Amino acid sequence: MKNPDQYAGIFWILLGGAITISSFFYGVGSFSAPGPGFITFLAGAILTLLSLVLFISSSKSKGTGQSLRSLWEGRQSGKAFYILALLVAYMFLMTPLGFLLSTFLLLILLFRVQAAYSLKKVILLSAASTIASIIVFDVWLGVQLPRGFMGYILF
Amino acid sequence: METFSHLLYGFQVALQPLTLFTCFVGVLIGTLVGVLPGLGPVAAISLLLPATFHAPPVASIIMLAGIYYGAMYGGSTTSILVNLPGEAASVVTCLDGYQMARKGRAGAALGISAFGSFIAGTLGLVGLACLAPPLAAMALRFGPPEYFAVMVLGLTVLIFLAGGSMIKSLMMACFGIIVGNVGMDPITAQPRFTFQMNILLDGVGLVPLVMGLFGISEVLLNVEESLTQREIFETKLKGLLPNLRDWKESLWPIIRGSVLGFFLGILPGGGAVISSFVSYGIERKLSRHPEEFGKGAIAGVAGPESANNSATAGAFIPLLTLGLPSNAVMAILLGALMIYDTPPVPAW
Repeated sequence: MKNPDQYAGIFWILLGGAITISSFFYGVGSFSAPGPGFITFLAGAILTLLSLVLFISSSKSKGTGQSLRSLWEGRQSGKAFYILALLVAYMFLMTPLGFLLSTFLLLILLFRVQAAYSLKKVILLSAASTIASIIVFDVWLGVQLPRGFMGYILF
Repeated sequence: METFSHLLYGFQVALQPLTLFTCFVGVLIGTLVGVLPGLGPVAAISLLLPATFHAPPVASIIMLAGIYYGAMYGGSTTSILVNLPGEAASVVTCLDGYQMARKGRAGAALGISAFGSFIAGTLGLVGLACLAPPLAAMALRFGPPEYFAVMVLGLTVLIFLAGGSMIKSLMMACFGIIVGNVGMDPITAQPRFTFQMNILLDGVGLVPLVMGLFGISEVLLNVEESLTQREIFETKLKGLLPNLRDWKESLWPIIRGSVLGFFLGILPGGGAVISSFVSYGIERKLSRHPEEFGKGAIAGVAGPESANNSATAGAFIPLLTLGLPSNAVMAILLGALMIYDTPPVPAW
Protein backbone atom coordinates (compact mmCIF):
# COMPACT_ATOMS: atom_id res chain seq x y z
CA MET A 1 0.00 0.00 0.00
CA LYS A 2 1.64 3.19 -1.16
CA ASN A 3 -1.07 5.72 -0.47
CA PRO A 4 -1.39 6.89 3.15
CA ASP A 5 -5.15 7.15 2.64
CA GLN A 6 -5.29 3.39 2.33
CA TYR A 7 -4.03 3.02 5.88
CA ALA A 8 -6.51 5.64 7.03
CA GLY A 9 -9.30 3.85 5.21
CA ILE A 10 -8.55 0.56 6.92
CA PHE A 11 -8.41 2.23 10.31
CA TRP A 12 -11.76 3.95 9.88
CA ILE A 13 -13.39 0.83 8.43
CA LEU A 14 -12.42 -1.10 11.53
CA LEU A 15 -13.45 1.68 13.90
CA GLY A 16 -16.71 2.41 12.09
CA GLY A 17 -17.54 -1.28 11.99
CA ALA A 18 -16.89 -1.65 15.72
CA ILE A 19 -19.09 1.36 16.48
CA THR A 20 -21.87 0.05 14.25
CA ILE A 21 -21.85 -3.39 15.87
CA SER A 22 -21.71 -1.97 19.39
CA SER A 23 -24.60 0.35 18.61
CA PHE A 24 -26.63 -2.62 17.39
CA PHE A 25 -26.24 -4.24 20.81
CA TYR A 26 -27.33 -1.00 22.53
CA GLY A 27 -30.61 -1.28 20.67
CA VAL A 28 -31.42 0.55 17.46
CA GLY A 29 -35.19 0.73 17.86
CA SER A 30 -37.23 2.21 15.02
CA PHE A 31 -37.74 5.60 13.39
CA SER A 32 -40.78 6.25 15.55
CA ALA A 33 -39.18 4.89 18.74
CA PRO A 34 -35.40 5.24 18.38
CA GLY A 35 -33.26 3.22 20.79
CA PRO A 36 -30.04 4.33 22.50
CA GLY A 37 -27.93 3.11 19.60
CA PHE A 38 -30.02 4.64 16.80
CA ILE A 39 -27.90 7.66 15.91
CA THR A 40 -24.56 5.96 16.51
CA PHE A 41 -25.64 2.93 14.44
CA LEU A 42 -26.49 5.15 11.47
CA ALA A 43 -23.43 7.35 11.89
CA GLY A 44 -21.18 4.31 12.31
CA ALA A 45 -22.63 2.62 9.24
CA ILE A 46 -22.16 5.75 7.14
CA LEU A 47 -18.64 6.13 8.49
CA THR A 48 -17.82 2.54 7.56
CA LEU A 49 -19.24 2.96 4.05
CA LEU A 50 -17.34 6.20 3.48
CA SER A 51 -14.15 4.62 4.78
CA LEU A 52 -14.63 1.80 2.28
CA VAL A 53 -15.09 4.36 -0.49
CA LEU A 54 -11.93 6.15 0.67
CA PHE A 55 -9.96 2.91 0.70
CA ILE A 56 -11.16 1.88 -2.74
CA SER A 57 -10.63 5.32 -4.30
CA SER A 58 -7.16 5.64 -2.78
CA SER A 59 -6.25 2.14 -3.98
CA LYS A 60 -7.34 2.96 -7.52
CA SER A 61 -5.74 6.40 -7.71
CA LYS A 62 -2.18 6.81 -8.91
CA GLY A 63 -1.45 8.65 -5.72
CA THR A 64 0.05 12.04 -5.05
CA GLY A 65 3.52 10.61 -4.71
CA GLN A 66 3.22 10.86 -0.97
CA SER A 67 4.09 7.80 1.00
CA LEU A 68 3.34 7.25 4.67
CA ARG A 69 6.95 8.09 5.49
CA SER A 70 6.89 11.31 3.47
CA LEU A 71 4.16 12.69 5.74
CA TRP A 72 6.71 12.79 8.55
CA GLU A 73 9.68 14.04 6.55
CA GLY A 74 11.18 17.36 7.48
CA ARG A 75 9.37 17.42 10.79
CA GLN A 76 10.81 17.00 14.23
CA SER A 77 8.10 14.53 15.15
CA GLY A 78 10.23 12.97 17.87
CA LYS A 79 9.88 16.16 19.90
CA ALA A 80 6.12 16.15 19.49
CA PHE A 81 5.84 12.54 20.68
CA TYR A 82 8.20 13.32 23.54
CA ILE A 83 5.98 16.20 24.65
CA LEU A 84 2.89 14.00 24.38
CA ALA A 85 4.58 11.38 26.52
CA LEU A 86 5.50 14.06 29.05
CA LEU A 87 1.89 15.26 29.21
CA VAL A 88 0.57 11.72 29.71
CA ALA A 89 3.13 11.10 32.45
CA TYR A 90 2.17 14.45 34.00
CA MET A 91 -1.45 13.37 34.03
CA PHE A 92 -0.67 10.16 35.91
CA LEU A 93 1.88 11.65 38.27
CA MET A 94 0.02 14.79 39.29
CA THR A 95 -2.05 13.08 41.98
CA PRO A 96 0.75 11.16 43.75
CA LEU A 97 3.41 13.87 43.37
CA GLY A 98 1.15 16.86 43.75
CA PHE A 99 0.66 19.84 41.46
CA LEU A 100 3.74 21.71 42.68
CA LEU A 101 6.37 19.05 42.05
CA SER A 102 4.84 17.54 38.93
CA THR A 103 4.34 20.92 37.25
CA PHE A 104 7.84 22.07 38.16
CA LEU A 105 9.38 18.94 36.67
CA LEU A 106 7.16 19.09 33.59
CA LEU A 107 8.08 22.68 32.86
CA ILE A 108 11.79 21.98 33.19
CA LEU A 109 11.53 19.13 30.71
CA LEU A 110 9.34 21.14 28.33
CA PHE A 111 11.67 24.14 28.35
CA ARG A 112 14.56 21.88 27.53
CA VAL A 113 12.83 20.52 24.43
CA GLN A 114 13.86 23.45 22.27
CA ALA A 115 17.03 23.99 24.34
CA ALA A 116 16.70 27.73 23.89
CA TYR A 117 17.61 28.61 27.49
CA SER A 118 20.39 27.67 29.86
CA LEU A 119 19.64 25.18 32.64
CA LYS A 120 19.80 27.88 35.29
CA LYS A 121 17.28 30.02 33.42
CA VAL A 122 15.04 27.01 32.84
CA ILE A 123 14.93 26.16 36.54
CA LEU A 124 14.22 29.78 37.40
CA LEU A 125 11.44 30.10 34.83
CA SER A 126 9.90 26.79 35.82
CA ALA A 127 9.89 27.71 39.50
CA ALA A 128 8.43 31.13 38.78
CA SER A 129 5.70 29.70 36.52
CA THR A 130 4.76 27.01 39.01
CA ILE A 131 4.59 29.39 41.93
CA ALA A 132 2.59 31.90 39.87
CA SER A 133 0.17 29.14 38.87
CA ILE A 134 -0.32 28.11 42.49
CA ILE A 135 -0.91 31.69 43.55
CA VAL A 136 -3.41 32.31 40.75
CA PHE A 137 -5.28 28.99 40.80
CA ASP A 138 -4.95 27.71 44.36
CA VAL A 139 -4.77 30.86 46.44
CA TRP A 140 -6.71 33.37 44.34
CA LEU A 141 -9.24 31.23 42.48
CA GLY A 142 -9.61 28.56 45.15
CA VAL A 143 -9.13 25.63 42.78
CA GLN A 144 -8.35 22.48 44.77
CA LEU A 145 -5.09 21.36 43.24
CA PRO A 146 -3.70 17.92 44.15
CA ARG A 147 -1.37 18.20 47.13
CA GLY A 148 0.43 14.90 46.73
CA PHE A 149 2.85 13.61 49.31
CA MET A 150 4.31 17.09 49.78
CA GLY A 151 1.00 18.50 50.89
CA TYR A 152 1.73 18.35 54.58
CA ILE A 153 4.95 20.32 54.02
CA LEU A 154 3.75 23.15 51.90
CA PHE A 155 0.03 23.62 52.47
CA MET B 1 -36.43 52.05 22.79
CA GLU B 2 -35.96 48.68 24.46
CA THR B 3 -32.71 48.21 22.56
CA PHE B 4 -31.53 51.55 23.86
CA SER B 5 -32.30 50.65 27.47
CA HIS B 6 -30.57 47.30 27.07
CA LEU B 7 -27.56 49.10 25.61
CA LEU B 8 -27.47 51.48 28.54
CA TYR B 9 -27.62 48.55 30.96
CA GLY B 10 -24.83 46.90 29.03
CA PHE B 11 -22.69 50.02 29.30
CA GLN B 12 -23.48 50.18 33.01
CA VAL B 13 -22.06 46.69 33.46
CA ALA B 14 -19.19 47.02 31.00
CA LEU B 15 -17.90 50.33 32.34
CA GLN B 16 -17.33 49.07 35.86
CA PRO B 17 -13.67 49.25 36.93
CA LEU B 18 -13.19 45.47 37.28
CA THR B 19 -14.77 44.87 33.88
CA LEU B 20 -12.64 47.54 32.24
CA PHE B 21 -9.54 46.08 33.84
CA THR B 22 -10.30 42.55 32.65
CA CYS B 23 -11.05 43.96 29.20
CA PHE B 24 -7.65 45.64 29.20
CA VAL B 25 -5.96 42.44 30.36
CA GLY B 26 -7.76 40.43 27.71
CA VAL B 27 -6.88 42.81 24.88
CA LEU B 28 -3.27 43.01 26.09
CA ILE B 29 -2.94 39.23 26.20
CA GLY B 30 -4.68 38.97 22.85
CA THR B 31 -2.32 41.48 21.25
CA LEU B 32 0.69 39.62 22.62
CA VAL B 33 -0.76 36.36 21.39
CA GLY B 34 -1.41 37.87 17.99
CA VAL B 35 2.14 39.14 17.76
CA LEU B 36 3.55 35.70 18.48
CA PRO B 37 3.41 33.66 15.29
CA GLY B 38 1.96 30.24 15.84
CA LEU B 39 0.09 30.97 19.06
CA GLY B 40 -3.36 32.03 17.98
CA PRO B 41 -6.41 33.29 19.85
CA VAL B 42 -7.84 29.76 19.79
CA ALA B 43 -4.95 28.36 21.77
CA ALA B 44 -4.81 31.38 24.09
CA ILE B 45 -8.52 31.35 24.89
CA SER B 46 -8.63 27.60 25.36
CA LEU B 47 -5.63 27.68 27.69
CA LEU B 48 -6.91 30.67 29.69
CA LEU B 49 -10.46 29.38 29.93
CA PRO B 50 -9.94 27.38 33.14
CA ALA B 51 -8.48 30.48 34.78
CA THR B 52 -11.85 32.20 34.45
CA PHE B 53 -13.96 29.55 36.14
CA HIS B 54 -14.00 31.28 39.50
CA ALA B 55 -14.12 34.81 38.15
CA PRO B 56 -17.36 36.75 37.53
CA PRO B 57 -18.96 35.54 34.29
CA VAL B 58 -19.27 39.00 32.70
CA ALA B 59 -15.63 39.89 33.32
CA SER B 60 -14.54 36.46 32.09
CA ILE B 61 -16.48 36.68 28.85
CA ILE B 62 -15.21 40.20 28.22
CA MET B 63 -11.64 39.07 28.82
CA LEU B 64 -11.97 36.11 26.45
CA ALA B 65 -13.60 38.30 23.80
CA GLY B 66 -10.85 40.88 24.35
CA ILE B 67 -8.25 38.21 23.61
CA TYR B 68 -9.95 37.57 20.27
CA TYR B 69 -10.08 41.25 19.35
CA GLY B 70 -6.52 41.87 20.47
CA ALA B 71 -5.19 38.91 18.52
CA MET B 72 -6.79 40.17 15.30
CA TYR B 73 -4.89 43.45 15.67
CA GLY B 74 -1.68 41.99 17.10
CA GLY B 75 -1.08 39.79 14.08
CA SER B 76 -0.31 42.83 11.96
CA THR B 77 2.75 43.83 14.01
CA THR B 78 4.99 40.97 12.94
CA SER B 79 3.44 41.02 9.47
CA ILE B 80 4.64 44.57 8.99
CA LEU B 81 7.97 44.38 10.78
CA VAL B 82 9.16 40.84 10.13
CA ASN B 83 7.09 39.73 7.14
CA LEU B 84 5.86 36.89 9.33
CA PRO B 85 2.09 36.89 9.89
CA GLY B 86 1.18 36.51 13.51
CA GLU B 87 -2.26 35.32 12.54
CA ALA B 88 -3.81 33.73 9.49
CA ALA B 89 -5.93 36.86 9.11
CA SER B 90 -2.78 39.00 8.87
CA VAL B 91 -1.19 37.13 5.98
CA VAL B 92 -2.39 39.71 3.48
CA THR B 93 -0.95 42.53 5.58
CA CYS B 94 2.52 41.14 4.86
CA LEU B 95 2.19 41.96 1.18
CA ASP B 96 2.11 45.73 1.56
CA GLY B 97 2.87 46.25 5.24
CA TYR B 98 6.38 44.83 5.05
CA GLN B 99 7.09 46.78 1.88
CA MET B 100 6.05 49.95 3.68
CA ALA B 101 8.43 49.05 6.49
CA ARG B 102 11.26 48.55 4.01
CA LYS B 103 10.60 52.07 2.76
CA GLY B 104 10.92 53.43 6.27
CA ARG B 105 7.17 53.78 6.76
CA ALA B 106 6.68 51.06 9.34
CA GLY B 107 5.24 53.61 11.74
CA ALA B 108 2.53 54.67 9.34
CA ALA B 109 1.67 51.06 8.57
CA LEU B 110 1.43 50.14 12.25
CA GLY B 111 -0.53 53.29 12.97
CA ILE B 112 -3.10 52.84 10.23
CA SER B 113 -3.44 49.19 11.18
CA ALA B 114 -4.25 50.20 14.74
CA PHE B 115 -6.68 52.95 13.79
CA GLY B 116 -8.33 50.84 11.13
CA SER B 117 -8.77 47.97 13.55
CA PHE B 118 -10.28 50.29 16.14
CA ILE B 119 -12.72 51.95 13.72
CA ALA B 120 -13.75 48.67 12.16
CA GLY B 121 -14.18 46.95 15.51
CA THR B 122 -16.36 49.81 16.73
CA LEU B 123 -18.50 49.82 13.60
CA GLY B 124 -18.82 46.07 13.84
CA LEU B 125 -20.04 46.35 17.41
CA VAL B 126 -22.66 48.89 16.36
CA GLY B 127 -23.84 46.45 13.71
CA LEU B 128 -23.90 43.65 16.27
CA ALA B 129 -26.02 45.73 18.66
CA CYS B 130 -28.48 46.69 15.91
CA LEU B 131 -28.87 43.31 14.21
CA ALA B 132 -28.66 40.98 17.19
CA PRO B 133 -32.09 41.79 18.75
CA PRO B 134 -34.19 40.98 15.65
CA LEU B 135 -32.24 37.77 15.17
CA ALA B 136 -32.63 36.92 18.85
CA ALA B 137 -36.42 37.41 18.68
CA MET B 138 -36.50 34.96 15.81
CA ALA B 139 -34.44 32.46 17.80
CA LEU B 140 -37.02 32.42 20.60
CA ARG B 141 -39.60 30.99 18.22
CA PHE B 142 -37.47 27.97 17.46
CA GLY B 143 -39.07 24.58 18.04
CA PRO B 144 -37.88 21.00 17.44
CA PRO B 145 -38.24 21.20 13.62
CA GLU B 146 -36.22 24.44 13.57
CA TYR B 147 -33.52 22.97 15.80
CA PHE B 148 -33.26 19.95 13.54
CA ALA B 149 -32.95 22.32 10.59
CA VAL B 150 -30.18 24.19 12.45
CA MET B 151 -28.38 20.88 13.02
CA VAL B 152 -28.65 20.05 9.33
CA LEU B 153 -27.47 23.59 8.52
CA GLY B 154 -24.48 23.15 10.79
CA LEU B 155 -23.49 19.90 9.13
CA THR B 156 -24.13 21.35 5.67
CA VAL B 157 -21.91 24.35 6.40
CA LEU B 158 -19.25 22.01 7.72
CA ILE B 159 -19.29 20.07 4.47
CA PHE B 160 -19.36 23.30 2.43
CA LEU B 161 -16.25 24.52 4.17
CA ALA B 162 -14.43 21.25 3.65
CA GLY B 163 -11.22 21.85 1.86
CA GLY B 164 -9.74 18.96 -0.02
CA SER B 165 -11.49 15.63 0.19
CA MET B 166 -15.26 15.68 0.63
CA ILE B 167 -15.25 12.05 1.69
CA LYS B 168 -12.87 12.74 4.56
CA SER B 169 -14.99 15.70 5.67
CA LEU B 170 -18.13 13.57 5.72
CA MET B 171 -16.26 10.89 7.64
CA MET B 172 -15.20 13.42 10.26
CA ALA B 173 -18.75 14.74 10.48
CA CYS B 174 -19.96 11.19 11.21
CA PHE B 175 -17.21 10.70 13.76
CA GLY B 176 -18.14 13.97 15.41
CA ILE B 177 -21.75 12.84 15.71
CA ILE B 178 -20.58 9.60 17.30
CA VAL B 179 -18.32 11.40 19.78
CA GLY B 180 -21.21 13.74 20.59
CA ASN B 181 -23.34 10.76 21.55
CA VAL B 182 -20.89 9.43 24.11
CA GLY B 183 -22.53 9.46 27.53
CA MET B 184 -25.96 8.61 28.85
CA ASP B 185 -28.87 8.37 26.48
CA PRO B 186 -31.29 11.16 27.49
CA ILE B 187 -34.37 8.94 27.17
CA THR B 188 -33.34 5.50 28.44
CA ALA B 189 -30.33 6.66 30.54
CA GLN B 190 -28.27 3.84 29.08
CA PRO B 191 -24.55 4.61 28.95
CA ARG B 192 -23.15 4.68 25.41
CA PHE B 193 -19.44 4.19 24.73
CA THR B 194 -18.47 5.19 28.26
CA PHE B 195 -16.28 2.09 28.72
CA GLN B 196 -17.46 2.03 32.33
CA MET B 197 -15.76 5.32 33.08
CA ASN B 198 -17.90 7.57 35.25
CA ILE B 199 -16.22 10.64 33.85
CA LEU B 200 -17.74 9.91 30.44
CA LEU B 201 -21.31 9.59 31.69
CA ASP B 202 -21.85 13.28 31.00
CA GLY B 203 -20.29 12.93 27.59
CA VAL B 204 -16.96 14.13 26.27
CA GLY B 205 -16.22 17.44 27.95
CA LEU B 206 -16.13 20.39 25.59
CA VAL B 207 -13.30 22.18 27.38
CA PRO B 208 -10.79 19.26 27.36
CA LEU B 209 -11.75 18.49 23.77
CA VAL B 210 -11.24 22.07 22.61
CA MET B 211 -8.03 22.52 24.61
CA GLY B 212 -6.62 19.28 23.24
CA LEU B 213 -7.72 19.83 19.64
CA PHE B 214 -6.69 23.46 19.35
CA GLY B 215 -4.41 24.39 22.23
CA ILE B 216 -2.14 21.38 22.61
CA SER B 217 -2.15 20.50 18.92
CA GLU B 218 -1.00 23.99 17.93
CA VAL B 219 1.87 23.76 20.40
CA LEU B 220 2.85 20.34 19.04
CA LEU B 221 2.69 21.58 15.44
CA ASN B 222 5.03 24.44 16.28
CA VAL B 223 7.45 22.10 18.02
CA GLU B 224 7.53 19.86 14.97
CA GLU B 225 8.61 22.65 12.67
CA SER B 226 12.21 23.69 12.97
CA LEU B 227 12.85 27.31 13.72
CA THR B 228 13.77 29.18 10.55
CA GLN B 229 15.78 32.31 10.38
CA ARG B 230 13.74 35.37 9.55
CA GLU B 231 15.13 38.68 8.49
CA ILE B 232 14.17 41.32 10.99
CA PHE B 233 14.14 44.58 9.12
CA GLU B 234 15.80 47.19 11.26
CA THR B 235 14.46 50.68 10.94
CA LYS B 236 13.42 53.53 13.14
CA LEU B 237 9.78 53.67 14.06
CA LYS B 238 9.32 57.33 13.38
CA GLY B 239 5.95 58.91 12.85
CA LEU B 240 3.53 56.34 14.22
CA LEU B 241 0.64 58.60 13.36
CA PRO B 242 -0.48 58.47 9.73
CA ASN B 243 -0.36 61.79 7.92
CA LEU B 244 -3.22 63.42 6.07
CA ARG B 245 -2.42 61.74 2.80
CA ASP B 246 -2.38 58.32 4.51
CA TRP B 247 -5.81 59.02 5.98
CA LYS B 248 -7.12 60.14 2.61
CA GLU B 249 -5.96 56.92 1.00
CA SER B 250 -7.14 54.73 3.87
CA LEU B 251 -10.52 56.14 4.83
CA TRP B 252 -12.67 54.38 2.23
CA PRO B 253 -10.72 51.11 2.47
CA ILE B 254 -11.38 51.15 6.22
CA ILE B 255 -15.10 51.74 5.71
CA ARG B 256 -15.39 49.14 2.97
CA GLY B 257 -13.33 46.68 4.98
CA SER B 258 -15.54 47.22 8.02
CA VAL B 259 -18.76 46.48 6.15
CA LEU B 260 -17.31 43.58 4.21
CA GLY B 261 -15.68 42.00 7.24
CA PHE B 262 -18.82 42.32 9.33
CA PHE B 263 -21.05 40.46 6.89
CA LEU B 264 -18.43 37.86 6.01
CA GLY B 265 -17.81 37.34 9.70
CA ILE B 266 -21.43 36.28 10.17
CA LEU B 267 -20.92 33.37 7.79
CA PRO B 268 -19.77 30.27 9.62
CA GLY B 269 -16.20 29.47 8.74
CA GLY B 270 -15.73 32.69 6.76
CA GLY B 271 -14.56 35.08 9.36
CA ALA B 272 -11.44 37.11 9.51
CA VAL B 273 -9.22 35.23 7.09
CA ILE B 274 -11.54 35.28 4.11
CA SER B 275 -12.64 38.85 4.77
CA SER B 276 -9.04 40.08 4.78
CA PHE B 277 -8.31 38.41 1.47
CA VAL B 278 -11.54 39.64 -0.12
CA SER B 279 -10.91 43.15 1.16
CA TYR B 280 -7.43 43.18 -0.35
CA GLY B 281 -8.83 42.02 -3.67
CA ILE B 282 -11.53 44.68 -3.64
CA GLU B 283 -9.16 47.49 -2.71
CA ARG B 284 -6.80 46.46 -5.45
CA LYS B 285 -9.66 46.40 -7.91
CA LEU B 286 -11.02 49.79 -6.87
CA SER B 287 -7.70 51.55 -6.47
CA ARG B 288 -6.66 54.23 -8.96
CA HIS B 289 -3.12 52.91 -8.72
CA PRO B 290 -3.42 49.11 -8.53
CA GLU B 291 0.21 48.77 -9.63
CA GLU B 292 1.25 50.08 -6.20
CA PHE B 293 -0.27 47.08 -4.44
CA GLY B 294 2.43 44.70 -3.34
CA LYS B 295 4.93 47.56 -3.21
CA GLY B 296 3.73 49.40 -0.15
CA ALA B 297 0.20 50.69 -0.77
CA ILE B 298 -1.33 51.77 2.51
CA ALA B 299 -4.80 50.76 1.34
CA GLY B 300 -3.48 47.20 1.21
CA VAL B 301 -2.91 47.42 4.95
CA ALA B 302 -5.93 49.50 5.97
CA GLY B 303 -8.61 47.45 4.21
CA PRO B 304 -7.62 43.93 5.28
CA GLU B 305 -6.83 44.94 8.85
CA SER B 306 -10.21 46.65 9.15
CA ALA B 307 -11.95 43.67 7.62
CA ASN B 308 -10.44 41.13 9.98
CA ASN B 309 -11.34 43.18 13.03
CA SER B 310 -14.87 43.84 11.85
CA ALA B 311 -15.29 40.13 11.19
CA THR B 312 -14.77 39.44 14.88
CA ALA B 313 -17.93 41.40 15.68
CA GLY B 314 -19.86 39.70 12.92
CA ALA B 315 -18.77 36.30 14.17
CA PHE B 316 -20.60 36.93 17.43
CA ILE B 317 -24.01 37.24 15.76
CA PRO B 318 -24.69 33.55 14.99
CA LEU B 319 -23.23 32.63 18.39
CA LEU B 320 -25.27 35.03 20.49
CA THR B 321 -28.53 34.75 18.58
CA LEU B 322 -28.68 31.18 17.35
CA GLY B 323 -26.06 29.47 19.48
CA LEU B 324 -24.12 28.53 16.34
CA PRO B 325 -20.38 29.12 16.60
CA SER B 326 -19.05 30.40 13.29
CA ASN B 327 -15.42 29.53 13.95
CA ALA B 328 -13.18 27.78 16.44
CA VAL B 329 -12.93 30.82 18.75
CA MET B 330 -16.69 31.12 18.90
CA ALA B 331 -16.91 27.42 19.68
CA ILE B 332 -14.69 27.92 22.70
CA LEU B 333 -16.66 30.98 23.75
CA LEU B 334 -19.85 28.94 23.45
CA GLY B 335 -18.32 26.42 25.80
CA ALA B 336 -17.37 29.25 28.14
CA LEU B 337 -20.90 30.67 28.08
CA MET B 338 -22.33 27.27 28.92
CA ILE B 339 -19.83 26.80 31.74
CA TYR B 340 -20.86 30.16 33.17
CA ASP B 341 -24.50 29.05 32.96
CA THR B 342 -25.30 31.81 30.48
CA PRO B 343 -26.20 29.87 27.33
CA PRO B 344 -26.80 32.08 24.29
CA VAL B 345 -29.97 30.22 23.35
CA PRO B 346 -32.73 30.15 26.00
CA ALA B 347 -33.73 26.54 25.25
CA TRP B 348 -30.21 25.40 26.17
